Amino acid sequence: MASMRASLFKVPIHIILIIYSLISIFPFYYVVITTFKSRDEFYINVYAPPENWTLEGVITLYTDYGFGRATLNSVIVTFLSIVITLIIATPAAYAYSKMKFIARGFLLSLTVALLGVPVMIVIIPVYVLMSKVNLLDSYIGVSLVYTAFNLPFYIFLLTSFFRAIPQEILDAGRIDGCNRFELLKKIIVPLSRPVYATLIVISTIWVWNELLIAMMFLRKDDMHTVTVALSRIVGRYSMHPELIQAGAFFVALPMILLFLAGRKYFIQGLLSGALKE
Amino acid sequence: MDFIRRLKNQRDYKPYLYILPSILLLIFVFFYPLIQNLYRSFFRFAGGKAIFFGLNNYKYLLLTDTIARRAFLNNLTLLLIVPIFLILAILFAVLITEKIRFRGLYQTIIIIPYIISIVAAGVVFSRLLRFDGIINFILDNIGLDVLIHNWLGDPKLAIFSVMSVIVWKELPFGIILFIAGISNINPEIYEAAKIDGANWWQNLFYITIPQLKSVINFYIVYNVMVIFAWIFTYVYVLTEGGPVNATTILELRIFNLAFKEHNMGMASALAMLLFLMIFVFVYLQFRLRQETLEES
Repeated sequence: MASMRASLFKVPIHIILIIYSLISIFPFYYVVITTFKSRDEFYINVYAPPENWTLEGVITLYTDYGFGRATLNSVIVTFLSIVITLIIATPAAYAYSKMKFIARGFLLSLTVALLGVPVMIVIIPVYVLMSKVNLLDSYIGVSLVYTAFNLPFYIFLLTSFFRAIPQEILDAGRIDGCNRFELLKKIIVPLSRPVYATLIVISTIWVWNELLIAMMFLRKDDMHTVTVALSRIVGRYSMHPELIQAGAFFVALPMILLFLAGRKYFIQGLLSGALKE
Repeated sequence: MDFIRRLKNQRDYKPYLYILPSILLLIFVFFYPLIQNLYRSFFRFAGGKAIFFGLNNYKYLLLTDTIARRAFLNNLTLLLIVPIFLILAILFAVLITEKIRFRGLYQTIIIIPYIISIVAAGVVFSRLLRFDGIINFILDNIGLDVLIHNWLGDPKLAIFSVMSVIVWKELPFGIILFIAGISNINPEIYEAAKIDGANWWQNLFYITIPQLKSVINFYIVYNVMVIFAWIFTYVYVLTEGGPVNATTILELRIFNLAFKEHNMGMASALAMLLFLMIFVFVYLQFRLRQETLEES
């Protein structure tokens, strides 16, 4: 009886959670049915699934509207900014966690305090600076800006992870003749794979999805990332709903797949950012 | 003096080489821009010349610029989101952590809005919320046609439509946060309460919520920051601040001052005001928390 009552009590919980789940994925229904509908059908059948599924919109999007190029740009910018962030953040976190030097605590707190500084507050002078050094419309320029916004989180997380690596392991490595850099390469980095996975998942999703920085630093059409390309298509071709929704579909899809593959790391990343407080 | 002596004794300069690239980049992207903003905020830039303008940019923004005032009020209105987030996030976190089936599945589905781009979400919702959009279509079909509105076009409603999209997309972060918070609560507390005969609601209000106090504090502060400085993309994609500035916000005003009105001095001044607001807010809540820590 007790278990009957307990499971009856759970019915309303399931109902509430199912309704919320439906609200969460409902927009995807619209995106999917519109993406695979022809434009003619859209105007006579807006809300139901397409009678004739077609790839017309998708093909037009990639061939005539530069979405293929935009996808390539997004991949390059995301990849480049993560690689640069890793190269800069790893040695910095190593120094903050395993070396003694003056002003260490101060510099580390200053770096971590920048976590969450709003883009809009600093972006205009950065834009002016980048235009002076000719780094607008370049992969490197925009990647450096993303790197800067990623750095505080990377350094914070890596420092706290490296700190937890026991000194004895490093001492043993030193006895085997490793110098400081080899210790980092051969011991610390391999031990830290999970935290690297977390950082990469979180920042891939952030950089791929970001609009403001991308649209300010990549102005030429053939430099647009997917989010910029999508927002431009909406502005220019508002009468082409199937193109717009196909764009939304292919901006969202890679991140949904990445999230499903790296769910554990993603959730860990979200929480470790919050635990800073 | 002690510092200088220690600096002289610091023989090993290698650690500084390890941190140098990160410090340089952070200087160029954060510290230099803040100083530049402050400097520019005292100037007016016209025809390639900088004219010293004193505090006039600030004066204009605070006293005359009705759009900036409208933006500030809209940011304040959007703060309504903070209690909404708090209540819904705790509610769903509590429900998901009940020992139910399909927990993992619910959790996965619920997070999806959070990981897709605001641009994609905005593009979809601006279609769904149109007058001839699917939301009005559904309302019409289930007999709620009195609720049919021009969700993004009606100046009174638009800000609340923007708010709903933000809730739809950002709520999962809070849920994840509180799920983690709840699983950190010592289960012995619930067992003791069970012996005392506490019911579900008593557990919620006398154990779960008090135990989550620090997570709740963090989540409130986090959301205030989000509302003041991290929602540009929503407004830019959904409404561009319209209709007639009904959904304009401080970030959008900074952006438009700089790139539409080409008034860099004024844009810098508003960026400084926003920075100051956030700085004071963070500082105050930090002090407040220090005090409550000392008392307890």
